[in-house]
Amino acid sequence: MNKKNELPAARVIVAREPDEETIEKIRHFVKARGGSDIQLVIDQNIIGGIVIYIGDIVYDGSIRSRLEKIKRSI
Amino acid sequence: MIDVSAIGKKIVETINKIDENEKERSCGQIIYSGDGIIRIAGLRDVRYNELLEVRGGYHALALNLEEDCVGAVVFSGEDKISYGDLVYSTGKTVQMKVGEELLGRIVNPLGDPMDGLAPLQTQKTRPVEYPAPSIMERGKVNKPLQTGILAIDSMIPIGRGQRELIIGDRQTGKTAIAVDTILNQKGENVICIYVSIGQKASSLAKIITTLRNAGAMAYTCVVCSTADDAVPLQYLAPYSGCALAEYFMYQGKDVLIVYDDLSKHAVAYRTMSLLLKRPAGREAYPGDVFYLHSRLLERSAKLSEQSGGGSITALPIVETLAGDISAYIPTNVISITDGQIYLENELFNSGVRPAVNVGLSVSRVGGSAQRPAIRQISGQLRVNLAQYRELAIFMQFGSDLDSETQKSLSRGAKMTDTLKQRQYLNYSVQDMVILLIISQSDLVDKIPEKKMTAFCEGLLDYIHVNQADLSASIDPDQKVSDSLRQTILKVAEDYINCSMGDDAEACSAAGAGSAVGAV
Repeated sequence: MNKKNELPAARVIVAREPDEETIEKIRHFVKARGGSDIQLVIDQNIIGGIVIYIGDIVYDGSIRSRLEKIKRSI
Repeated sequence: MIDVSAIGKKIVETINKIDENEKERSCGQIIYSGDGIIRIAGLRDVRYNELLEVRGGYHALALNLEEDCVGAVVFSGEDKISYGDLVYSTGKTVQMKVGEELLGRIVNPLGDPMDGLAPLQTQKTRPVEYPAPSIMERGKVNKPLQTGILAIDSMIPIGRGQRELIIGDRQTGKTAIAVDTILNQKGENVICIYVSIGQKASSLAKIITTLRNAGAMAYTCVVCSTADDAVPLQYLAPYSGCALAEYFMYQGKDVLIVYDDLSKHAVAYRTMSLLLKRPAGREAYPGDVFYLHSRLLERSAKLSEQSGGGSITALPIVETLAGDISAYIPTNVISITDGQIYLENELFNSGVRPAVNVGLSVSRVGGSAQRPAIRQISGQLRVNLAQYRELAIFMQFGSDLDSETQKSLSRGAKMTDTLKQRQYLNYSVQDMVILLIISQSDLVDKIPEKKMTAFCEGLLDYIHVNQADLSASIDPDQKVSDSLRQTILKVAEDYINCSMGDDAEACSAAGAGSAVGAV
């Protein structure tokens, strides 16, 4: 939790280094949802797609979570 | 042969059905895990009683919303959850699967089948916690729920929509009464739900076998949580069972729900509360242990005709220690329910089964729902029995008794014997009328002591086989007329003369012969 009432920085997790255009899109998405800056993390574990954390809120569009969902429903 | 392409097609279908759209979700991280309790940092907009999802597909229930963390209990997989795991809020409370498909099934408190049969097809769910029917939705208890047990139906009548506590020490036949009541609902259009809370799996298996063998599973659902289940599941079980009961009640049906037993439920809740570091009160139970049971039992109700007229009759069971009904949980539940059936160890051991203590057992609302025939002839029963017991205690030390006292003592003993009833031997209302009339007549003086129970069973067999129209002529919704009373007494007298006389052997042989013929 952010104690100084500043806008939280968004943690963006991707599997591969995105290009400039994509980063700009992500920055736009984060700004619209109350985040300040973005902090890019490369993590192969998510397989593909993107996960964005802004404070306590998570937007999980990773391939891993989709596969997990499929695994659970079969 | 297994059709592989069909399976593949099914998988593709299932995957296509999955909602691909990622919504925003609130999340947090586990900062403590132990004893089935997790604490989560983050999760800012979680609500009380919300279902949480831990990464890996495990579920938890948010119970403590604190300043810097959220306390939750996990339903399963506590050994697979680790520090730092992400926890998501779901925006939902715990849901129980409901529907007609659950009848005949054994499910856990989340509605997942535990009987190894096909998965449940129902899409319908109900929240496990749900407000009780409002004042205006409720009607008057006016229909009886026959337990088939003479001692209960005659003196402690239960109405549909009533909450009647069954209380007693261990091994006094509490569950037996509940199971007998479920068995007696065959053909009565009552749906039964048996909720087992923290029971031994072996005793639960025995109960389920009994229900199956008697064909009672057709209208019964068993919601089970055994002693080795996670504590939160034991805590949820009665609420889940009640959610299922409500589903049927709001359709206008009559439901009977047995909570076996609420003392273990209170213990499960105490475990959770202590681990969540809530302040402990009397007997280390948390402060809201009364509300725990009152909000559960308030959900049992009789709905008014405008609201569909359905009902939930609750038979909560509470186990006492050494007959102490003034302990915390027993007094709580006694004050919430509409009466109690008190079972006593001493009675049980002296052969009075069901071991109902008539003096301490009451029914506060069932009397108005009692069948008129039974009410008419059982009115004096309770008083007579009380007088007999008083006299018996007083005369314990006396040696010389006058014949009048001896007579009333013997009559009292026979009345007590009439109320003895074997397990799984349920009486119909007609049978009860016959037994009650005879046990309060002068005829009992002709029956030898200690033979009364056998006489009752024999007489009923005799009437079922040889005097079927006599049973049929008794209308439980009418008062018993004098002529009918005389006919019953005449038949009983014939039976006494026949079975106790010189030709007893011939008579029983004839009876047996006709019984075989009837089968």
